[in-house]
Amino acid sequence: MGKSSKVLKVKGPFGVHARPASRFCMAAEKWPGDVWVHAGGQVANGKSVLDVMAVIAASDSFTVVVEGDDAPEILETLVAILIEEGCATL
Amino acid sequence: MKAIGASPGYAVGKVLRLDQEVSIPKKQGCEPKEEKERLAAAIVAAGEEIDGIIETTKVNVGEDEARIFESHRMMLDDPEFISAIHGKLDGKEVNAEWAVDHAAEEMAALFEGMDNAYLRERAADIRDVAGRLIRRLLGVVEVSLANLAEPVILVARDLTPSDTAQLNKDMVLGFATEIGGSASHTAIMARTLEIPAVVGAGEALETLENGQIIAIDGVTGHWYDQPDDALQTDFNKKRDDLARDRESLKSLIGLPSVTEDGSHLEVVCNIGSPSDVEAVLENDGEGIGLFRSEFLYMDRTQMPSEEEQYEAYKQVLTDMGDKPVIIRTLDVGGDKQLSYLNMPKEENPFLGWRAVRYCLDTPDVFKVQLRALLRAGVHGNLRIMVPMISHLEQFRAVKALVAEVEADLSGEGVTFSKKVPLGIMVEIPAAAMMADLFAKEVDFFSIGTNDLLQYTTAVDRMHEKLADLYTPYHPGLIRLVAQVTKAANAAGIPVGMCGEAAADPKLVPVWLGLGLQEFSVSAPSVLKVRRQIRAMGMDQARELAGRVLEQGTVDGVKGVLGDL
Repeated sequence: MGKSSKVLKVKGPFGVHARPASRFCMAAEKWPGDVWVHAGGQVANGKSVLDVMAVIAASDSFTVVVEGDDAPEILETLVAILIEEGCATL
Repeated sequence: MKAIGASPGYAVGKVLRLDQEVSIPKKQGCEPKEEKERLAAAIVAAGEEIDGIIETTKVNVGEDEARIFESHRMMLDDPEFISAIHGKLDGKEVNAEWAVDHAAEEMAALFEGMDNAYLRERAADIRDVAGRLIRRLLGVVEVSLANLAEPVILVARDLTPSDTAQLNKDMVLGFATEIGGSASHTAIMARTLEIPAVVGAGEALETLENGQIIAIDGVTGHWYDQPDDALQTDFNKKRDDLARDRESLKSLIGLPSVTEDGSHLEVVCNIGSPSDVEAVLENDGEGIGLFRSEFLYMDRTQMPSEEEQYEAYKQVLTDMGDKPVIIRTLDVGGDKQLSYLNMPKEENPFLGWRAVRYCLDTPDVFKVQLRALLRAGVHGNLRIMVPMISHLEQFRAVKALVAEVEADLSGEGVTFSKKVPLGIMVEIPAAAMMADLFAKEVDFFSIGTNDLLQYTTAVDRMHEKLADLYTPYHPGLIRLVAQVTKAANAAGIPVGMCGEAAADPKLVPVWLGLGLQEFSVSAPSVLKVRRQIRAMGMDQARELAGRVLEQGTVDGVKGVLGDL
């Protein structure tokens, strides 16, 4: 089974807000495989908006990990959402 | 009875209580499978409710506000939230209501413990979502604020975002809440919706019952239980007058702020973040007189980068077109603490290591801001203002740093604005006393009356027992302002005012008569100040200011201004 990951930097003064986190999790939800967000030694379920916001809150950067076939494609979609919302950069 | 006036206006009407306490029973020995089924059904029903709110909010309030509820929707379906609830159902064999309440409280507590203020506020969203789910589980019928049958005044401990977003503006005459201040969610929504509100009324509200008549005054914060006929008539008249007044103010949009005899003044705005620009333009503000740059530094774990600051300044400058924008350099320290700066806790923060004092001691931090400002300067009509200046030496040091930054930018071949005026905020009496000397070196003055009054009278402006002494009608403050405006006009430099007193209707004519050129006020006050200016002649204003300057007491000043 495939696994892809990407490191992102938190941009903007307020971390990842509810709106971008919601869009991120909504997209992750549609994906049958697992999505994880690693930050500051903690791991969040990428389909949980509460988990994602809480884990990213304490960090300046985080890693998005996608497991499953075609993982690179969905990873790209997820990363694009955060960049488009202006809350993260590569 | 007195509370805090949070949204101006008057209302008389029947009470509708929103906070009928929902008590959550704890039952044990429940069958986890059955409870999970009840939970799943309640989630579906609550989800439909939220979908409805999203739609109404889009129509009644706006797309941005609707997004709060899209995130509520996500929280409701959140797999971690649901598995936390399931964990309690499986492990403790309790009822679903109790499991939801406890899972939500644990989650909310986690958010409340965070450093970041934005995320701390999300705890309220979690409780809002959990409350909705619990009411569904209990079968409690919710008062639908979208379909009220008769006009009411909402009374609650506090209003949730779901409450304010779905309410029907035509049926809600006002709000009264037990907790909250003028910056709370309820207060902000009330002002946005132009619904009168009093907040922070405390336990006195608890005795009110549905259907009882109350009257609220959102200007002064007073409220009355079972007002008599005379008071009701008076409130209704005031309400109608205010509605007419709001309409007539709108006719001033697009007109200049010019006195009857042709003197041009500027009415500009105080803002705290780029998103405030919208309200400035809506109210026809002629520029920004004070843009507090602190928002960029607050609620985060490290300094904002030069790029981040540049983008924020650029956005405001671009949005304001060629209108002047005065950005105040970092004003932290004292009561405004930033965790990542490791500033020591002080005994006397208002007299401590803050604002320009801090910036000059940490030039590496200050230069990042100056670089971002000068670079952003090419996108509009920028002016830089330095807060808390007491010594001429400080201003000279800032000017030297600006020159240094300009040289660096030139050397690197980076585009920046070379002619950004550099002015000071006059908020320390020493600077006001030396206004004539400062006027030879600075490009402009802006008088910050809030701090100037506090420092001049040695009255802590937050001190409840000293509230009577903290008044802008103090002759000492007015004389200091006169000294500053006189010095500025003699030297031919612009002079504005950006404290609360700039919008005080009694004082506007006085400031005008003293030679103030720019009034920097909150966006909703722009048109009121403009109306006053347009109804006055300079001779009349000077004569009034002259009489005020002869007064030796606060009552004397109030007497001249017809406020006794």
